[in-house]
Amino acid sequence: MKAELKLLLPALRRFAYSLTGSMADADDLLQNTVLRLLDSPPAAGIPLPQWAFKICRNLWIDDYRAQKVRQQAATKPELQQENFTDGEQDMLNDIQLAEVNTAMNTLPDEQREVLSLVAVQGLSYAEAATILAIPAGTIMSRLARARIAMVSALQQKGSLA
Amino acid sequence: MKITDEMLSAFLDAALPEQQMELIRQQLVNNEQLTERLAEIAMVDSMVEQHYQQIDHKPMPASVLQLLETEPATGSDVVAFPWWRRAQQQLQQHAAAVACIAVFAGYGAAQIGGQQQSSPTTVGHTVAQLLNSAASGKTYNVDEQQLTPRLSFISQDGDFCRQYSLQDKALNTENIACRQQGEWALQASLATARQADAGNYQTASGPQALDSILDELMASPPLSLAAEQDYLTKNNAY
Repeated sequence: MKAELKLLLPALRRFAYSLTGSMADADDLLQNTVLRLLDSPPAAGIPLPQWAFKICRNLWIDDYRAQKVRQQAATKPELQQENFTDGEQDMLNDIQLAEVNTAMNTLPDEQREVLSLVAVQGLSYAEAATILAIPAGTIMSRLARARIAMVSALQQKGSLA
Repeated sequence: MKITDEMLSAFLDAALPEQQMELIRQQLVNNEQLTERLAEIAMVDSMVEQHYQQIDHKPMPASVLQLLETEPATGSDVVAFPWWRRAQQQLQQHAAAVACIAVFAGYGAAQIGGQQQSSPTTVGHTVAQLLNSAASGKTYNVDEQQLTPRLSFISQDGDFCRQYSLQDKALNTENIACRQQGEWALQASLATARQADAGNYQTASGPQALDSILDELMASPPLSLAAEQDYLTKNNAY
């Protein structure tokens, strides 16, 4: 399982980042997810990626939301946003991307997690529905609301024409 | 038919029935406003994906990679380990540092003949003597082997039981034995090959090999060192 989990790490980490909005928190969440996975591997017949995303999401819900990490990120984005690009991206692009995180922080949790799974991970509605244990129709409506809210937020900040 | 944002969102993911997909495609041809709205919604995914991919440029935390090289750290306060495993760790920490290193040094990963015996077998006389008297957390020489009692507990059947390791030059065995009617009966035993480089340090993968058996056998938390000593004293009175 460890070898398969290693291959899954980048995607899992990206998912953690999209949920927490902070690279430091994402790495903490990733580590806790891996620890939990090693302690509670998926039951027979359950694919590891599906189980891993589910655990990551549940840990975020249980721990990180309770600690209001996201609220801190929302109110002080300048403290959370770190730029690890190699300088080749232009500054304007960086600012626009920074606004994405700020906009994501305004989304309700149930919309954020759906957008993370579909937009960042590229999962199908069915796959996201399995991970979140909700109907695919709910995924569709939450995702639409999330995208619309993001359009509105990014337009207000001028990041989206 | 009015095309809503929700429909456009689902259209992006090709999640609508083909009839609706086709209807939207047709409207997009002639409706510039609808096309712009679709582009706005599509841009959200692109920007979100681009933003969160930034973390890929940051090196993966070494602590996480390390977890996947070895067993999870037992000192973590994040994962709730079974109560007996925490207690096991506490007992081991009671022992001198030198004893701990002796316990954990040189475990090999390769298992040979690693079947767990389920039918009780009586342990040898010398080992039985040590199980009757030796405190957990220390290493004792027995014949040409080293015996290390790891913990003591009371089984579901009310027997006094012990987990211990036996090491020689080639093999390490992790064992669980229970004292039944005055004799030590082996409940489980797992053999692993020792690494040639005895200087290699590996986390406590050895003791954990029999975790599932312990889960089934133990009726309550492991005995404290003081409680264990009481049982050992009583056993010596047999």
